[in-house]
Amino acid sequence: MSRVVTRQTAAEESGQGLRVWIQKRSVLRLVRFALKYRWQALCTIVAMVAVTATGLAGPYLLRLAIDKGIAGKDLHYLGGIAILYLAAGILGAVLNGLQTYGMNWVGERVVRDLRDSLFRHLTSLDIDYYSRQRAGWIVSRLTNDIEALESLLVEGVAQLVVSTLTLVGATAILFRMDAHLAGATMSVIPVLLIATVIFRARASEAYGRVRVAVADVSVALQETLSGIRVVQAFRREQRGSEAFAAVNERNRKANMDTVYISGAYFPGVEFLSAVATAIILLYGGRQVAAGQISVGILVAFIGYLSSFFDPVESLSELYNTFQSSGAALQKVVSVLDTVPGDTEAIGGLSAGCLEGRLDCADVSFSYDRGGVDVLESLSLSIPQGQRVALVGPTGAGKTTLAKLLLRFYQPTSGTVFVDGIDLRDYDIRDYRRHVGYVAQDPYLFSGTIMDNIRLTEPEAEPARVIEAATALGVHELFSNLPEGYETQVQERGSRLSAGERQLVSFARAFFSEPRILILDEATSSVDPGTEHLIEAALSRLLAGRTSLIIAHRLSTVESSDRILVMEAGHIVEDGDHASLLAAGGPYARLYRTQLRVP
Amino acid sequence: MRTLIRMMKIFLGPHKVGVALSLVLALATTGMGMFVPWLTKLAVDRALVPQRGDLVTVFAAAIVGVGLLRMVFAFCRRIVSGRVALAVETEVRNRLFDHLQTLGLDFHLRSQTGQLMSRAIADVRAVRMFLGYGLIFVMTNVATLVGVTVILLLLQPRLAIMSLAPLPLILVVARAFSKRLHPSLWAIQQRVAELTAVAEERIMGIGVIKAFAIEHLQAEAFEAASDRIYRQNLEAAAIKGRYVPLLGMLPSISLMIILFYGGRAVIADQMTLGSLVAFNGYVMLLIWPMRMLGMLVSWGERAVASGERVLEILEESPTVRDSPRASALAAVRGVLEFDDVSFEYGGRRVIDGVTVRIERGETVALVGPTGCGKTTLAHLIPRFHDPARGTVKLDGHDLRDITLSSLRGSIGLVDQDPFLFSLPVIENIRYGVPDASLERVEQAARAAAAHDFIQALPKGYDTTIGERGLTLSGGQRQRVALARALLTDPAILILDDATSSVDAETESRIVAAIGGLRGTRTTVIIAHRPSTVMLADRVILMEHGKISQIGPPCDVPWEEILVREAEESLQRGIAAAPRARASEEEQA
Repeated sequence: MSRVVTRQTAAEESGQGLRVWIQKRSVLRLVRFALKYRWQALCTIVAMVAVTATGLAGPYLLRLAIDKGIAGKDLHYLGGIAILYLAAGILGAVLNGLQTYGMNWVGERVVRDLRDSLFRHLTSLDIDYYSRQRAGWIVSRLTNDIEALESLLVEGVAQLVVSTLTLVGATAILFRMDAHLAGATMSVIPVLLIATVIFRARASEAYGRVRVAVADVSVALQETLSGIRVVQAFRREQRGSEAFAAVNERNRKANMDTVYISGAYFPGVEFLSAVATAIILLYGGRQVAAGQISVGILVAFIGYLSSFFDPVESLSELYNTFQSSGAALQKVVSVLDTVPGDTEAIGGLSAGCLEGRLDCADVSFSYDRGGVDVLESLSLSIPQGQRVALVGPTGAGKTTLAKLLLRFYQPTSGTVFVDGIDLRDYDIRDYRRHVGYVAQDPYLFSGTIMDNIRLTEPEAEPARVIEAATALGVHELFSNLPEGYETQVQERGSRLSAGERQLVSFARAFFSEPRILILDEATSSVDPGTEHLIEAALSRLLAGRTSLIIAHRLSTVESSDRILVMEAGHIVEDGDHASLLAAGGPYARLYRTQLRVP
Repeated sequence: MRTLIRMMKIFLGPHKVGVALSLVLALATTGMGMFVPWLTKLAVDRALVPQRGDLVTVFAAAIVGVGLLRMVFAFCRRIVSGRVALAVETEVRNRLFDHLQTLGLDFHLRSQTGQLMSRAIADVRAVRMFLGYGLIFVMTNVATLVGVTVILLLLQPRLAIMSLAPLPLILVVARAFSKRLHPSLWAIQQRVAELTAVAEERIMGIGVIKAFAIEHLQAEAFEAASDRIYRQNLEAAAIKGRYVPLLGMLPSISLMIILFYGGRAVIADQMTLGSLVAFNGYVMLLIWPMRMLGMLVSWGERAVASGERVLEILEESPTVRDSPRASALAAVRGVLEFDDVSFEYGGRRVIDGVTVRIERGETVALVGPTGCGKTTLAHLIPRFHDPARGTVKLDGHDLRDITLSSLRGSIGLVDQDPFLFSLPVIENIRYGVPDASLERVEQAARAAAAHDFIQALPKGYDTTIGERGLTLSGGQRQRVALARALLTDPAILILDDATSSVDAETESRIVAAIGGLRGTRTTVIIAHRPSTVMLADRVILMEHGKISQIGPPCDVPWEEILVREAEESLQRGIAAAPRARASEEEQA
């Protein structure tokens, strides 16, 4: 599998994000997560309403102060208004603080719950899902999509409520103060709206290009840094610089577009607000002169202008938030809606203490329904404790057979029996606990060697881990590493050599004390000393267990109780090393061409 | 502060005119903005209060005129400073990239790719933002503060002092807010990065998780990481919840003072109503710059830190570089000499007094246990490192006297986990010889036993591979990398475990084909399979950084030595833990 690349294309991001919000099912899914905190959410929304109200009070109080306090020369009234003004300011500020905290409290909890249940659901999905879906895509659901929903839940909702209320509230107040002047003032709104819509469309497209350009810069940089040795060895620095400068220049140009777009919009909006002020003065001034409205009302009108301009801008920002979080929600829900395949069915028989008899009865399998059969009517019986080596050319179905025994896949027809019981009747996780699996390129998790060995029991005593490693003969190897068992293996075990990684994965399988062992032998060569350790550890790991080994080493094949030769989904030979060699069939050929050269 | 000035010199130096122009335009914009409350005051006092509708038109027109000018200035300012800022970003990043390419392997080994990436992307952007916009904001905000204060003092000194008194607190609070909030936000980013790493590992390792039936344990690990993000977010929310009310309250105090004392002054005829409205307008104008300035200080500190990180790389000098007396090597013969060479890495002596001469056309196999110094020794040949003591010579010349370009041009190096670019196969193979013909590419691929599988790829030689293309198996990648090296027809070929994932038979075929057969290419092979090592002219057995044996393959019992050592380690391990052994027998 290649490294995870979490880069989203701009096309993936935009698209039909908005349409999701009218699909009841997806939205309900999200709402259900939020309902758990409904009382806290309700309190937060009440706080939001109050914050908006106190915010709108300012210009109105100013009007009262001018018209009644100052014009009426009433110092008491003026004092009262001043105190009210301060009280509204303080109350609004405090409520705003509470609202901020409350929104975060609820939003972040919902986000956490959503993320956790998404991950739990992902781990319950079958291996087939993971082979069809790129790892990077899945990780992006857990990170990018959740982040998009977070920005909606934590900021978007608050912005929506407060902006809408402010807009509605301000309009109502203006019309109540003076309908004519309100109408005149509102005449700039259509222009503002049109300008904003155009700006949003342009800006979102331009920022999309910036994101792509930045991603290109990162990719170019990352490739050069990861491949610096190749670059320097082949003296490609000059060409690299030119290519990078070109990518970087595209990034500059894309950014420059955004400078032009916002350079036109934001000063434009400010100009529009000057125009609105002028309209109020022009129209309202005549009304004042005609004695139709008071000076206070006119001042309040100017004061309320920002209550129009700010919400329109923040609502237009919301457009983007809803679009990207809608797309995110759709993808998250699509994952949550994926039903795990029947290989992952939980419940059923407890495996108890398994003996480890394996039988395949007439098993056929194909990866795609109606596709080519990778295994064809395969029947096989492995008694308890037998050591079986599986050999054959690439694509013969060896790995597929191993995967069926782990129940990563289900036979298309036929049955796999373990201890005489249909594998489908077991509780799958309970069954797998009794099966040890060593992959060809063992996957280690970042952490210490100790933690990688005690994978199934993170709380196990170190002494037990050391005991297991000693029993395998690898204790000295591990304890001789710079920090012994506490050595950090780093991502995918990259700090260890290929041989050491294999030995850790042997120890890991040994530690879980399986009854059945399925092992895909590594093909890469290691130095003869490590090879010797691997051989020794392997025979100790297999002792007393039913085992199926996809073998590549001669020593492994020779020491097996039984050898199965597979070709094109069939078992074509079955016997021990000596007798098969004597038979001079496929095994003898394989022995000469592949196995013998050490 | 000194760093800031140095940063400005280095980064803004070539753009003095642009910087000055955007500053002038910014001040002009600010100046226009300060006209508006004044015009409102005049309108109230001269037109509205005396109820002169005809004069209103004049003021309205003036407001639109000023607004128009302001719009033009603001637009120009944005374009000019945007240009300067983006030019700075692009230049700095190009310089950084060029410099990173010249830095040696020692630097790249000790720095993490992610770290370098974030410096070249995020830190450079932070520098751009601050130098391009932050500094202008500082100037305009200071200009606004000074301008408004002067105007208010002229309008009504007493009221000005009273109403402005609480405002500097905004600056202090905003600064404290930003100073506290930023580490918290940064910590959120860290927690998110941790969760991403946890998720990535779990998703990629899902096979192991399922096979061991440890889904529940992994879910717990994920939930722990997820909960850490939640807690960190809540901490940030608590900081916001505390500072947001403070920042909101301070302006209301000023506005209340204006309303009451200003109103009283109007009633007492000490001040006009228009002045009161203007006061209100001007104080509103101050709130934002005050908050901004408080935050800008912290912003500046972070930008300086970013700038330092960028400069740190730019000022790092390559340890391996051409010496002034280095000259190009015309025709390379390929005779390698190590003369008492030692090398230390992380305080440990990895190579310890190695002396050996490798003849032209000779194939030498380097063998030994993991960590004995084979790879380090091989890396000394293309000068990825310079030895701490002793000299390495090519054709009798100290490597340090040969230009890097001509040295590396004559060496082909392939390692165990070769890096291929996300390009078509053909581009990968002719990476070192970009104009090579398809025929030559195929020839190299054949020699590396790669031609057959490449032809079977969906688009043959034009199939894109790597991160954004088809994933090749380890053995396939090794063979493509080998073809890439062979195409340059190097005088010296170094295979560092370069065919370990290729099966044994193919490996010996490759080595036999490309090794000393032609008798002119010097080949150094690090390999493990006896069948491959047998093909070498000489075997060098390395242990603990020293050459312990050297000679023809049949004379060096390297395999026996390594196996014997492993066996001894097995025996020692068992002897050391009799209790564990007992339990193993019980098991069996």
